[in-house]
Amino acid sequence: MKRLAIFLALGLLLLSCDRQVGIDGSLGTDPEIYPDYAGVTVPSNIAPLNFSYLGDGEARLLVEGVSGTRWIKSRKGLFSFGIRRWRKMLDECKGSDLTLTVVVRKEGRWLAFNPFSISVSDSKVDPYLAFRLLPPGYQGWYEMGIYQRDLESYSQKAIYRNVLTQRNCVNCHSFCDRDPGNMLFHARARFAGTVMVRDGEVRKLNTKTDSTISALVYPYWHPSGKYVAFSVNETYQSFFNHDPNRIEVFDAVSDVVVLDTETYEISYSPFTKSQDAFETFPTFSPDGRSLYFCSAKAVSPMPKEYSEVKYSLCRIAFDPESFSFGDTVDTLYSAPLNGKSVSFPRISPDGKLLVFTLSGYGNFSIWHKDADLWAAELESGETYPLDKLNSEDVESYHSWSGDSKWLVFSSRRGDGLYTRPYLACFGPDGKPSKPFLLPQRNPLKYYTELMVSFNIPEFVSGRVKVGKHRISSALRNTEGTNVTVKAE
Amino acid sequence: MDRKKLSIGLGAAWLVCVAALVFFLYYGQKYLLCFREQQQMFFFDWRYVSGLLVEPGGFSVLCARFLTQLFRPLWVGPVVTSLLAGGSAWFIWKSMERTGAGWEVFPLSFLAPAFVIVSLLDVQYFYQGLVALFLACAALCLYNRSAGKKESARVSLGSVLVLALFLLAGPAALLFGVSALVSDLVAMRRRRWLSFLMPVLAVSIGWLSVLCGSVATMGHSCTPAFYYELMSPGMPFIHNLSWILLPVSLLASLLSKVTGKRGIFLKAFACVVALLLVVIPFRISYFRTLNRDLMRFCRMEVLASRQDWNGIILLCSHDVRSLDDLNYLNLALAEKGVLKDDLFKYPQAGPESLIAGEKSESAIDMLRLSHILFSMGNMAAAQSMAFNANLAFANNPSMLKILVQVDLMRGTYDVARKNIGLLKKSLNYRSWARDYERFLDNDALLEKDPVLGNGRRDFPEDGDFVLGSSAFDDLRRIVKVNPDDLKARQYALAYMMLSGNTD
Repeated sequence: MKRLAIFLALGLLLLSCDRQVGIDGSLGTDPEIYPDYAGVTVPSNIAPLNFSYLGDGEARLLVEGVSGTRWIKSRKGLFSFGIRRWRKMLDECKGSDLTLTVVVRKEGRWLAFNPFSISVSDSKVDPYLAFRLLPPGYQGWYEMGIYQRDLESYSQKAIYRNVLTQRNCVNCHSFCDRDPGNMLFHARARFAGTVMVRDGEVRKLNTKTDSTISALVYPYWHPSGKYVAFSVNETYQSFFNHDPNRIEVFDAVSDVVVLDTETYEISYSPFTKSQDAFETFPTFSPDGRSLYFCSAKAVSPMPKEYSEVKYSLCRIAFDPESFSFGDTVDTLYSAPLNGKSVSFPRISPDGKLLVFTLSGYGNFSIWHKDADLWAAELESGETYPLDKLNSEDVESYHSWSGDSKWLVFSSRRGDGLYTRPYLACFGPDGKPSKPFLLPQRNPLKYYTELMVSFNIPEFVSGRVKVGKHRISSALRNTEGTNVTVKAE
Repeated sequence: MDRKKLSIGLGAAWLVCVAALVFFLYYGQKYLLCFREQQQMFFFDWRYVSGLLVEPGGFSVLCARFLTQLFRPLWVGPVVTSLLAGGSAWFIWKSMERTGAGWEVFPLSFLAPAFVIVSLLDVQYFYQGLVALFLACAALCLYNRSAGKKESARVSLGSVLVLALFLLAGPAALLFGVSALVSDLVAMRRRRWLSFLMPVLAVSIGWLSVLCGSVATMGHSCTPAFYYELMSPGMPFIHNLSWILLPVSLLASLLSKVTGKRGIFLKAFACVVALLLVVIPFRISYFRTLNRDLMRFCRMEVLASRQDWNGIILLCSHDVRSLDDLNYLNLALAEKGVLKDDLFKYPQAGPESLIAGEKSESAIDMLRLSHILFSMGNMAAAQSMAFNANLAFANNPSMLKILVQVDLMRGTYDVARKNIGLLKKSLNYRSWARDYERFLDNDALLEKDPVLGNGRRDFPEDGDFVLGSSAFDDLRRIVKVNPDDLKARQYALAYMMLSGNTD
C-alpha cells in the first residue's frame, strides 16, 4: 500500500513535470485560440473554459492566479481544465484575474505568446440555461427539443423532445422569473397546444380564440406569475434569391394580448390590438406595472413591402390587480424617426436597463445580419449600442440573469448561419464586458460538428424537474383548457 | 430420417429459399432498397454513434444505417436483406426444432421474415425493423438452446435477453418474450409458467421507458410502431403481421405432434401445405402493399441521385406514367443538353412536365424539386428545397451535396465546411467531400468550375424572393443574368414551347 502511494505520487510528479516547461522567449503576438476567451469576464460558477490553440506544434498553457500557477498540456491543441480543479481555482480567484499564457515549441525552443486574462467575477450566474436546439430551419423540421444545460458543468439534458409527440414543433419556452417550476412552451402541428407548468401541475391550453388571429405566440411572464403576455401573429417565411440575409420572416398581422393564468382569459388594449399596427414581442417590467411591446405601422401588401416594416419600442401601463391597461402609449424608441426596427425588448430584473435588438427593418432579427444589441437606460432614456457584444453578423435574442449582472444572447458570428449562445457580464455602469461562448468540453470539435442552432437561450434558476412523459401525456391525452377572451 | 441427411437437406432448402428471395428482391425491390441508402446516413463519428447507442433500440438503428449505406450496388440490398430475413428464418427454425417441430413445418420458419419483407415495401417502415427481428430471432434461438438447463437458469437467461434486446433493439424484446413463452408452452418445459415473466418484464421495461420519456407511448415501446416513421399519423396494420406470425410459427410445432408419427408422404404433404401457407399469404400481402408509384419514384430518385441520366431516359423511352416521370425525364434531357431537341420525342403535358408542384411540402416531392431547381440554375430555391428535404429525411446525401454546392456558390464557406465535414464522415461520399474541399475559400478556383462557377453567376441581382410567383418567373431572371447557363436556357426554351409562348 505504501509502495503504491509512493508510486502514484511519483507518477503525478512526473506528469506535472511533463507539463511544465521553461520559457525560452516571447513571440510578441497573441495566440490564435478558439473560442476567443481572451479578456472575458466569467461568473465564479461557470464550467471550465476549455479552449483550443489553433496553431501547429506542441503547446502548453501556463495559468497564473492568486491561488498559484498551473501548467496544462494540450492534447491535439485542446487545453482542458478538470472540473474540480477549475472550480477550486475560480473560487480562490473570485474578484481577480487569471493570466493565461500559451507556450509553443518551435525549433526546439519554448516560446510564449502574449498572455491574456480571464476575469473571475464575484457573482455567480443562474445555474441553468434553457434553449431549443434545431437546425437553422427554413420551413421543415424533423428532430428538435428544448434542453437545459447546467452552466456549472457540461451536462445537458432534454426538458422535452418532439420525438414524443410525432415530431411536432415545440417552441417559445419561457420561465416566470427564471423559475423552473413555472414555465410554458408551445407545440404546433401535431398535438398542438401550449404546455403550462405551474407549481408541479402540467396543463395543456388551447389558445386560439375567435377574437384572435392565431394561437398565442411569443410569451413573457408577469413577475407575479398570474399573467403571461403573448403576441398573436400571422407569420410567413420567404427565401431570398440573392440576399445575405437568406430568409425573411414577417408578420402580415400581429397583436399583443395578456393571459390570466388562473382564469385562462385573455385581455388586451386597443393600443395592443389594432388594425393599423403590428404589435408584437411583449415584455413586462420587473415591477409588473408596465407592458413593453414593439409596434409597427401596418404595411400592405406583404411580403412586397417587407422592408418598410419598422418596429418602435412602446410602453403601456398595466394594472395587475384589475387586469387592465393604461390609456396612453409611450414611445421609447421611434422607428420612423430613427429609421431602424426594434425587437426583443428585455428589461434587467433590477429595472435599470432595457436591452433590445435593433436592425434595419422587420422583427425576425435572427435572419438579419445587421441586427445588433442596444441598451436603453430606463431612468435617463439614453440609448446606446452594446458595441462590445456586437459583431459583423447577427446578435439577437437575449435574456438576463436573476441578479441583472449577466446577459446571454444569440449570435451567428461564428459561421453566419448557426446560432450560438454568448454570455456577457454587465458592470454597474451598464456597460458589458467582452462576451464568451458557452463553454464545452471540446468546443472546437463540438461547435464545428454541431448541425443545430441554439434558440431562445433563457437563464433558469434551477433544474426543470417536470418529466417529459407528463408533458407528452398532457399534449397527447388531454383535451386541453380552452382560453377565452375576457368580457368587457 | 438420418439426422445428418436431414440437416443437409434443410440447409439446402434454406439456401434455395434465400437464393429465391435474393432474386425476388433483386427483380422487385432493388431500387426501393437502394433508396434506403438515401433515406438515412451512417457517420463514422463517435459522438454520432454513442448518441444513438444511449437510446433504446439505438443499436438496431446503427446497424440498419451501417448496412443500408452499402446498398449502392443494386445487388447488395437484395443480398443483405435476404441474408437477414433468411438468418431470422434459420434462428426461428432452430427454435422450432427445440420445441419438437419436424422438417415438414420447416417452411413456416419463413413466415415472420416474409412479412417483414412486405413491410419494407413501405419506406416509412425503417430498415431497423428487419434488424430488430433478426436480433429477436437470434435471442430466441439462444434461449431455446439453453432449454435443457434448470428452469431458473433458463428464465434468468430469458430475462437478461429481454433487457438486452430492449436496449439494443427496442420493442423486439416483447416479441422475444412472447415467443420464448410460446416455445416453453409448446415444448411443455418444466415450470413453464415462470416463462410469463419474460413478456411481463418486456412490457414493464417498455412502460418504464415511456415514464422516463425515452419512448413516446406504450404502443411504440411494445409494437413495430417503434420502427415506423414517427411523423406518420398511423401505421398500417400489415406491419404488425410479422410479429403476430412469429409465435404462430412456433405453435406449428404442435402440428408435428400429429404428423410426427405418420409416414413420409403425409409429412411431405404437410410440408407442401406449410409452404403454401407461407407463399400464398405472402404473395397476396406483397402485391396488395406494393405501391408502384413509390417504386417508380425510388427508381427515378436513385438514378437522379447518381446522375444516371441515360438510365432515366431509357426507363421513360416507352413508358411515361406521370408528371413526376416527366419531371425526371426532362431533367435528364436537360442535363444531357438535349432538352430542347428531344422534348417532343416524349408525350409532354404542358409546362408542369418540367416542374410540377413546385411549392409542395411533401418530403418525396422536395427531393425531385431540389434536383430540378438546381438544374434550372435556381440555386436559392434549390437550397431552400434541399435544406427542407434533408431535414425530412434526417440527412439525405444528395441533398447535402446540393447544400454544399450552393453554399460554395454563395461564398458562405464556413457553412459549406460544416456540411463537407459531415459528408467526410460517410463511407460513400467522403471522397466527393474531399474533392470539394479545394473550393473552400478559393474564389478563383471556384469560378473556373463549370458547375460552381456557373451556379454562382446564376444568382439574380435583385433581392426578390424565390418561387415568389413561379419557377418560370425565376427562370427568366436567371437566364437574363446568366445567358451562358445552357441548362437554364434549355429549360426556358422548353417552357416556352410547352406553354405555346413563342414570343
